[in-house]
Amino acid sequence: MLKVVWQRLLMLVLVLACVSIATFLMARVVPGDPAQVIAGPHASHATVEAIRHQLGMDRPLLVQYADYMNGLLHGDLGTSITTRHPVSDDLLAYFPATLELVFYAFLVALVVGIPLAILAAVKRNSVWDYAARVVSLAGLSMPTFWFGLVLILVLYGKFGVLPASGRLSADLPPPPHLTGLYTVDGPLTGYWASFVDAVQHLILPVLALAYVQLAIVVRQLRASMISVLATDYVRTARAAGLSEWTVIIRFGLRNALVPVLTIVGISFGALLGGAVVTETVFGWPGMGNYVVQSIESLDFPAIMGFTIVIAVAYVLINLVVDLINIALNPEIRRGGAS
Amino acid sequence: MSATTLVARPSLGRRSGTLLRRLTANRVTGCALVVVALLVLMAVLAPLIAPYSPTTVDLTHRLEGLSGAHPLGTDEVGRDILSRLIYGARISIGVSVLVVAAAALVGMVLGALAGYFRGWTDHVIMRAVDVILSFPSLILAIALAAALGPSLANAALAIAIVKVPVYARLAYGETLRVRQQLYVRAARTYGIGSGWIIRKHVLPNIRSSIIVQTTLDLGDVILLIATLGFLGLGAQPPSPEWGSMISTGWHYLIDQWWYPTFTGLAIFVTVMSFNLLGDGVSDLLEPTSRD
Amino acid sequence: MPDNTLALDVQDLSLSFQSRTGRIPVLRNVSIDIEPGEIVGLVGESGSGKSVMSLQVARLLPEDAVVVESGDVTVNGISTRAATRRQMTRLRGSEIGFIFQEPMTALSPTMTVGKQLGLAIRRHRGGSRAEVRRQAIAALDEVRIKNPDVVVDQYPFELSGGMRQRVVIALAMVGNPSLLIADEPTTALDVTVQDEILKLIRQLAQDHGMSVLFVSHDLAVVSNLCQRVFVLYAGEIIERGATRQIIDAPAHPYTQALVGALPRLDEARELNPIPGEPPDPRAVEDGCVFAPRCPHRFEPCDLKPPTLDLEAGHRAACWLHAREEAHDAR
Repeated sequence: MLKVVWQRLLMLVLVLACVSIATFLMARVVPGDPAQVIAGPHASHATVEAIRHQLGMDRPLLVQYADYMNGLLHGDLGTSITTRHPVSDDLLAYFPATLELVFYAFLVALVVGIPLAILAAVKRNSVWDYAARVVSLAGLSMPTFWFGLVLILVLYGKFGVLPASGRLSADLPPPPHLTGLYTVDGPLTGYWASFVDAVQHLILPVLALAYVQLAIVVRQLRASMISVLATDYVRTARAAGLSEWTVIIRFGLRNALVPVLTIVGISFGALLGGAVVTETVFGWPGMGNYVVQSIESLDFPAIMGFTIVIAVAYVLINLVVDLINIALNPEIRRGGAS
Repeated sequence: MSATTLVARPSLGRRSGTLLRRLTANRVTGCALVVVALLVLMAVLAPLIAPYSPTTVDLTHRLEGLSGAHPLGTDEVGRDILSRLIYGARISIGVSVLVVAAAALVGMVLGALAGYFRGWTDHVIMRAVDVILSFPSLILAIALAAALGPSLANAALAIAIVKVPVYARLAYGETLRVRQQLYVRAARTYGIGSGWIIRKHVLPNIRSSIIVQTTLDLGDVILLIATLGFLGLGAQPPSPEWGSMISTGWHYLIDQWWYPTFTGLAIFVTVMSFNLLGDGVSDLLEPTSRD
Repeated sequence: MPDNTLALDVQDLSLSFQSRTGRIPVLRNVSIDIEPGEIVGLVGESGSGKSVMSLQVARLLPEDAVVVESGDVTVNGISTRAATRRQMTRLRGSEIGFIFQEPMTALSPTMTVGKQLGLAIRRHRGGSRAEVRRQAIAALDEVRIKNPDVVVDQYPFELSGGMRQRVVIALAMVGNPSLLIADEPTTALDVTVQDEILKLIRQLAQDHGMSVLFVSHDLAVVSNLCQRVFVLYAGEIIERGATRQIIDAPAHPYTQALVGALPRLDEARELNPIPGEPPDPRAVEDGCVFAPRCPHRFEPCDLKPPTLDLEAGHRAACWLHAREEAHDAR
């Protein structure tokens, strides 16, 4: 069991090493000189050189890299070219918004997806089964940004029931910062109007983001459930006279979840990627929006800082999935069959 | 003997028959095949089918709605949207095929090399594969495309890199397995070249897995190209690539809704057809208990 | 419940599978009766429909694929054809216990043996956690598992095939069923374990006054354990009788061939496999279903033979005996 944790952590180190080297090289090698960008198009050569010296870009490459790695290990992701703040500060500021969006999207995907998949598997070829298959096919084929746009068009443009951008309406104050999550801070501090408004603003982006995740969950779980419901042990459970609920949930779902879990961990990547586009479409002030704007202004430290953070998060998420997998799978825990 | 095997449906006679016939046996897959064929045809015959040139600017007819002259309206500089969509299919489908082919080829070669020669080659290649897989695909593609510079070629390269690992692992696993077989060990003592061994023994075994994977990847790559285009990282305006069309078009979402909506619909329908076809192919070659 | 109620009464059951191309008849006019406390065997080769028969008693076949053309199955007087889904769920475990062929996949891999038994115990008897656990250990003990207090916390993958099968038996017994159906319970086990399991089944039947329907392809095993035997061929019961009658005086050529193929320690003989194969259920012809393979085939066999009484309780569906009857009548 520890072996798995070890492997993941080693991979994390390797990934960080690669990304940091790549980041470092790219920032130094790629056309588009940041010093020039900062200095402006009319600056003299001397000014640009001075800026380059200030940024430490005239030292030997290896020294610069050592410096960079040192900073990285202390949580220093460099300084954003556009905002002039440390990238880590920027990301930290935008993190709660992304967390709120991703968390609720994942929740919706599970809350809607799991029952739908179970219904589809239990009632084969029923309306639920067809719905599940259509939903998952569409979700895997649909560009998230387009789905978000369609939602905006219909629910904001045509019917005007939900807001289309931002986390809060302009006239409402955000709740005092405890976690940065408006749906948590609002109730905790009694800012109920802001809370309700925040929820309203969350609905469309969460729906847009959740859909792809939902499609993946439904597809995998339905297939897994169908397979499990055909097993001998489910038949044994039925033959013993256990209730349908017990059979489906405790013998069916319990065993069906195991292979699905790994896929869900990997699908988190799609969720994170989808968050980037969703934030762009909905003007959501999160890390995704931040990185897209950084792309437009070629702000490499910001782009790479974001990539590193996402890589770390993704590895950690998959590590958690591995641990849950171990917890769910007694064979691994007790060391194989007799 | 599980309950379902007792109720197993009798086989529908011969399992042979042309690939085409077996694919079209399932109504849905047959439909998907037709749509994909039409889309490919549309892309190839674009200059003949499209009513206008995709790049002709006409500022007197900006942002017009659906009409007889412009069935899908015009964009912000007066270009016919329908024509741009038709030409855009060339980019989406064409680049996707290239990317998947390249990723599959490179991936298989790398995987086979790693599995065959072991040692350092194995370590370096497979660790690199693991690193790539440690990232969410879209985010890595974004990072790579951003670093290389916004252009369709760079986006294609970035996506190809992201897609290589699956093929590498497939080839790696099979090569390892084959390598241990007695007849391969015998062949090597006779000095038969590794390339020959790989071609003759590894590739045929993974053929159906590769086919399944490529058909599944085709749709996904089209989505990735469009997403990168939307973010400004892929094809650049005035190219009629669907994603970049939406990157400008979405600002007109409320008042000229048809502009981004139909463009996105084109992406949706295309990807869905490829996915359906991919599902059909994968059911055929690797039947699971999905149904 | 009146005392003369049969534990199991399969009344002229005809059952087909619904496939995309049409209906495939699997069981034709099958009648089986089991008195309370009896151990009855159902013998047939693979494809004869014996597993389908046993599963249908508990209605464990996928409902949308199975069509009951005619007849009924009553367990302790309760009709399974008329029963609703919920009623069937209640019947299972409390009236009908089931043991399957393959013990390696018969238990959920993610729950301990105690948990799975506990769910059944709570369902049929109820009780506190401690009480349920105690009963689970007692159940394991009854099926002669050593160290039941350890096994109760183990997962199925930690147990051998024989032990898993005992757990399956314990699970089947939880609701104290009046009828135990055993579908080839020993086929997948080692020979030494086979014997123990068979003894266990006999003991349990005796201790609980339980009836048993023992399904197998192995006439030797059946003759060892069962008091009466039904022989199933291609979906039809072609002979029935007391075990002694079947073994000593098999009437139907198929049964004769089965008995002839029994290995015996007292005389050296060749193994005589029956030539040919069972008919394809989709292409059943008129006439005696065994005729194509029968060494005694003659003209009447083109018509379906009636079931003829031979001696007390011994019946066979074969024209050969009609001739004898007619001969006797003269």
